[in-house]
Amino acid sequence: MNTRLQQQQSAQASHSQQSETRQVGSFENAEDALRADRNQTPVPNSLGDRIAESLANEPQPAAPKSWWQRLFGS
Amino acid sequence: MELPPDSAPVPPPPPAVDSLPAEFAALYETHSKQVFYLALRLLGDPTLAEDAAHDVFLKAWRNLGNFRGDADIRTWLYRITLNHCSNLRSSWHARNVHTQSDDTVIENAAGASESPFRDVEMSELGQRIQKALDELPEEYRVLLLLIADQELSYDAVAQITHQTADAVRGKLHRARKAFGTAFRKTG
Repeated sequence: MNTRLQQQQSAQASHSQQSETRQVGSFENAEDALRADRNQTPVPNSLGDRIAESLANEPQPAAPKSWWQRLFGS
Repeated sequence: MELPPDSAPVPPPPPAVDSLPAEFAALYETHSKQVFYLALRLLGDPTLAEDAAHDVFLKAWRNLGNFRGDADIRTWLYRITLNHCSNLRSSWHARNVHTQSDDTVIENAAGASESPFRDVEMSELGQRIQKALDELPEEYRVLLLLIADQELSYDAVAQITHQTADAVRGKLHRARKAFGTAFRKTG
């Protein structure tokens, strides 16, 4: 008896969970919709070239500080 | 004396992406999509997002020396992107530039250029997602965009947004519901 009740509760929980996650059109959930959108959205070709152009005018970045420099602030 | 056309001095071409230092080029290749997409959906405009992504990578370059290797570089880049976009949005609001509805802004952006990229960006899914995200509080929008990156754990999202992982879980539940409702309205 207990087992049957547990099965029913489990089935109900599963059903309500499914209907909650299938909210976003044909996607399982919000994250899936966003991932699909991100995958279909290309990075503009000009972005990398613009960055390269800007970096050509930048000095070399400072080398990472060692732990003792960070600790003692020199 | 005028030079014949074929001997006229040719200006050197601007540096291309493959001229980036190897390590930075690898960083760009790995993370540019996520950085650009996050900026796009936070700012709602492809041109502004490209400018923002450019600035993010420039800031990253300038601050590589301060990057602490104990943090994940993706987390670090996301934090720079969020701060940068948040500053941009704050300054727009402060100057009260956005007097048009989001729909009008998106329509104007779509008409501003005829690049194929813009056509893809303004695909139906992209438009619907942008409209749905624009309906949400900024905190929900940020959480959904971050958690959609499967490489980020709840702990990493918590670290980026300065809260506990439990708080992230609780808010995400509400954010998903709010997004679902807003998305349905766009159909």
